[in-house]
Amino acid sequence: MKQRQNRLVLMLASLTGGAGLGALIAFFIFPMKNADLIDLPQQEVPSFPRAHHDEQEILAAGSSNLEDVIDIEKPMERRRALYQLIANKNGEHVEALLRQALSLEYSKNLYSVQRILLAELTVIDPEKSLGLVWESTRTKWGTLLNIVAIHWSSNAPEEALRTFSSLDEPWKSQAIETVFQHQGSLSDVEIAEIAESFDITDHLIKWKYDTQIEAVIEEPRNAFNLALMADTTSSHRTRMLTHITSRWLEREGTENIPSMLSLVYDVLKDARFLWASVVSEIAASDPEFVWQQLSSMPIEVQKLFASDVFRQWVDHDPITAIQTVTTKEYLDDNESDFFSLLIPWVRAVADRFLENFELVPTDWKHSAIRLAVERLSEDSPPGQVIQLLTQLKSMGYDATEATESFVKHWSHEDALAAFEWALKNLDQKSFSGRSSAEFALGRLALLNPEKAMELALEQPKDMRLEWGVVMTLLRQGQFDKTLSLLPNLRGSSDSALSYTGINHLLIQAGRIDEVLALADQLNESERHTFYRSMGRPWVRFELESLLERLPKLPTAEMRKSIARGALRAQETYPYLTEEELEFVSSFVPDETN
Amino acid sequence: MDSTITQPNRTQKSSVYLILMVGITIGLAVGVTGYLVVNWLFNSDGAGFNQTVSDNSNGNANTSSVESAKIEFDWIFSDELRQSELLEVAELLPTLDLPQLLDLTATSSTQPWTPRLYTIQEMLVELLVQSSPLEAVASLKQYPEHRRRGLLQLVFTHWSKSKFEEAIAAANDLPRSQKRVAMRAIFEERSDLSSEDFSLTANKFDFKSELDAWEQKIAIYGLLDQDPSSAFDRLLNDEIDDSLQRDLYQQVVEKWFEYDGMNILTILDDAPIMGGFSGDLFDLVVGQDRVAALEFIQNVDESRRIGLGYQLLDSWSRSNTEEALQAVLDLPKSTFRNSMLSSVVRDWAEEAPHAVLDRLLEIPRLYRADAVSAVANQFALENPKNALEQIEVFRSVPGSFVDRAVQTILRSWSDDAPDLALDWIQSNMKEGSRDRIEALFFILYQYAPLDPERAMTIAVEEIHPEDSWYDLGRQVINALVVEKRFDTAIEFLDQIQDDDTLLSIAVRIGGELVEANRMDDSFLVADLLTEERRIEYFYGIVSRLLRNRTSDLLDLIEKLPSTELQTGVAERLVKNWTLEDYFNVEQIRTLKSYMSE
Repeated sequence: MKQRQNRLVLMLASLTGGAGLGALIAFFIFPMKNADLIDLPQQEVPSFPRAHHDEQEILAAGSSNLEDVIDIEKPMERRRALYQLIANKNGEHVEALLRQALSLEYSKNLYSVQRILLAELTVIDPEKSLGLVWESTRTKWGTLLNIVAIHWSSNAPEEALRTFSSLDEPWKSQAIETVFQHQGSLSDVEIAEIAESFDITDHLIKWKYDTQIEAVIEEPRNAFNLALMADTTSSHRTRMLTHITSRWLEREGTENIPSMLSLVYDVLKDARFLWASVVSEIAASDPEFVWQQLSSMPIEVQKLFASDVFRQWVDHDPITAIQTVTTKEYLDDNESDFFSLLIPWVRAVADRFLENFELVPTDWKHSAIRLAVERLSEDSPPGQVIQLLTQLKSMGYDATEATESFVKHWSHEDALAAFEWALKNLDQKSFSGRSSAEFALGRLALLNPEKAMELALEQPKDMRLEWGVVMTLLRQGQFDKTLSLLPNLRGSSDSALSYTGINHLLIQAGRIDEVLALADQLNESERHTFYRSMGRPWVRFELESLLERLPKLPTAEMRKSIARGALRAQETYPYLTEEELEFVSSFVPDETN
Repeated sequence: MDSTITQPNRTQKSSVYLILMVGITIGLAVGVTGYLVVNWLFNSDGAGFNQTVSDNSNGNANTSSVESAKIEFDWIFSDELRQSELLEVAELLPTLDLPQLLDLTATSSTQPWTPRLYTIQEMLVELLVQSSPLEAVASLKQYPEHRRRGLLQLVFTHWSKSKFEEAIAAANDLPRSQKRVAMRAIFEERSDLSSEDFSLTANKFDFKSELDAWEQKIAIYGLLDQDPSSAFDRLLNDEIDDSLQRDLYQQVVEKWFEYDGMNILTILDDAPIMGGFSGDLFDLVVGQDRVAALEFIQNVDESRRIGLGYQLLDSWSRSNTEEALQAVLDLPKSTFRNSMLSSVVRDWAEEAPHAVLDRLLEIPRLYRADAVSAVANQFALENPKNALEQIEVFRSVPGSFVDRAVQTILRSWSDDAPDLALDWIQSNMKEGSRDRIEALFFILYQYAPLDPERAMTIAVEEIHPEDSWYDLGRQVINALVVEKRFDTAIEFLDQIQDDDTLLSIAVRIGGELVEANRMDDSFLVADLLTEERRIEYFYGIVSRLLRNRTSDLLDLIEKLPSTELQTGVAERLVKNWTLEDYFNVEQIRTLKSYMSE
């Protein structure tokens, strides 16, 4: 009985062992899922022929050679081979492969392989993958960074945002926006908290607006209104408006410009200058056509949009553009708006101004000269501008204003040359001539105060150029330098008043003692005016000092004059408390208060 | 005994071996069979699918097989899909035919996000490109915009490798925004092609502007690390739309900052960057260290210092007002510091009006008036009447200058409801007070177009000789002139008592009438003036017309009712103006012909 039981046990044990062994052997021979696929008959998928023989071999063998993988022609097979290559590999291995891929010479499929490897490395080790983006060719940074941001946002969006928030622009904005766009695990509240903690709330706000705009992008009125109401930066608002317009044009073309412009007018007419980017975008592809369409619209729409359409037109065809708006009919109806058209036109033709000068209506030649000279002064050699001015003068045109503007521009480049030229060529008895010389000398003073003062003192006293030098230095905050030059000032009958500006600036800088010392240069009668002029800035900018020092000033006359100046200021701007008012008033005798 | 015992043992042993061999053999058979059965059962889904693929590959795609494919492939969109399973997906997807791929692509575009969704989408697109790139492009319409861009890039990356010109031609047919994405993908992918290669193709297809932008980008990158300043100049002077180069500008400025620090702020300030993002570049630089930026700005040329300072504080205040305020307070005393304090306090008040009022005493006295005024403006936007009450409690705070804030609110109120603002002034402000006249001066301007008669009556009644610093009647007439209601304006002229005021406002109306092509009516206005004032009146009008309407000017002189007037006006013109600046030779001759011998 017992023996029979033993045989049964033995039989069961051997069956069990055999079954286990059989299953094990079968498992090695026929791995679970691949088994079926390997058996797939090739003719069953004729539209997707299998890989070339050698590629098949690479696939079957699970190639360990990256370059072999790169050589695989079919994208999906290459991808399969890559997945095989990195299957069960750790981050270091994938990183090494990616580094290798990044170091290889160009080959046809290299970039695709780099991108897949980067995506997979990001899943394993995003920090490393981000580091490798910057080791690639710069032209690819944008694309590769996007891959990192997308895949990092899938796994660890908070970490991704932390890292991206410290990148430089434009990568920072691009990567952060990609994370916002692609992450799916954080709630709105969590994202907002994270954004605040990484100081990227402004990026979140912009992205949210962009998303909202995208949702209504096919309804331009709603989209424009949304952009208009958005609490965002002006540049972002402009980008949103341009984007909406661009997509609108892509959908509807330019077949119904009046309807488009009417909508833009309706929505944006009260939004200061915000229509400019929208109208420019609409006009960009065919401004002449848009101008014609605009011309048939209500006058208020024309007036608002004309200069933006015209600006685009000038870029394409300045001659036709100006000829269209200089007809008698057009000018009669639109003369008050003509200057806004003249500005872009003159700027566009400034380098060949004289050739085109005859196209400017007589009444506007003067303005055109000024605009052209201003434009040329920005980046042309001074000699070229002087030549133009000389030619205009010989043609009988007055270019005084234009010349003044030119000298000011030139002064920023070469103040000494500009000053000497102005002195020699401009009438120093005219306001314009004096103003030009004074400006140039002021610019020189910022670079070389002593030289500027020396030149100023060489000129007639009534030009008062040295006062200009001093004021420029003071406005620039060069107080010590100014104070050292003050003894050079040549007095005049209104010296005390002339010191008012100097007082004002010195008192704002807290230089009370220096101001009081200036009075020593004045005669007795001038001092009264001088002290009085001190009162207003002193009470406003240095109140505590005034209240402390007023009783200590050496003479009653000083105290009275300064107190009166302070009280005068109080009349237009109530600044003092009752007690302070009473205190200051106590220095002014009743009969003069 | 032992042998007896041994024999059975030997027999027993051999039977044990036999049992073991038979058991293992049967076990092996059962094990293998069992494994294969289990394996078959586990893979029966795949086998079924393969059958479907096989059927469909003969061109007999039908809805049921597509539906079947959808169900079979649900798992690839699973949240749980692991990297190890991607290999399997990569093996399975190529077995689909085009309709199935398109269907699965459509399905993928509406799938909820999963960590591997985009990889699956990329695989699908790669297969579609291989089969039919045009279908691949068309299929992307289903995707949301941000995803469409990424996949479009992928399509053209692969397409341009296999059929370069075909890809270029297709990219060219895309809408402008998509064309840029596609062309960029092609340029990036085909870095093996030279500039000449691209140029030759650009001659056949219209993508020169995109090519120029790409080549410019490469050139800028070439300069960026060694000479960002030149890179910036190059960007400024190219023909490419700045708004398309925002990213490049940002990179250049970031790099340039490493070389020249805050010094680049003044160059940026001068740069004629179009596209509306120069403020972003400024923020980029100052954002590196705002305190350092403020210190730098206080020392730049005074002609631009205040403007740059305002620009800095505007963005700083938005992100951290108190930090901005403290940084400005830390500056040495100067005009610049005072201007900046005023600015930052105003910004703060606009941003957080209630907080500013709570902490008004912490603000230096000199800037309290700015703060209260800015707060008043904010409150007025919501409810001007309440704002007037709220602001009143700060009258006792030194420097708050509540009267100025009241004027601010009233002006804001008068934009929307001048009648209500007017009623409030008349009920609440002391009659004859300077504040009341000042408020009326602005409110009547807004109110006059609504009820000109009442506006003029109030103007006449309110003004007293001692209030001559404001002329309310003139303000009413000015408002009517702006509205082009000239006839009403002319009717009111006789209510202007002061002769000089009457003359100056008559000149304004006369000039506007001429410009509105109602020259004859300008003569009616002259009739309201004394004889001796008429020359001044017409001379005033021609001075207005001098700059832009010289033809009208000469017409007017020609039509003047007396030679004396003609001569008087012409002589004043000749005496006071450089005629050559405004008239041509013929016009000067005409003008001089009116002068006495």
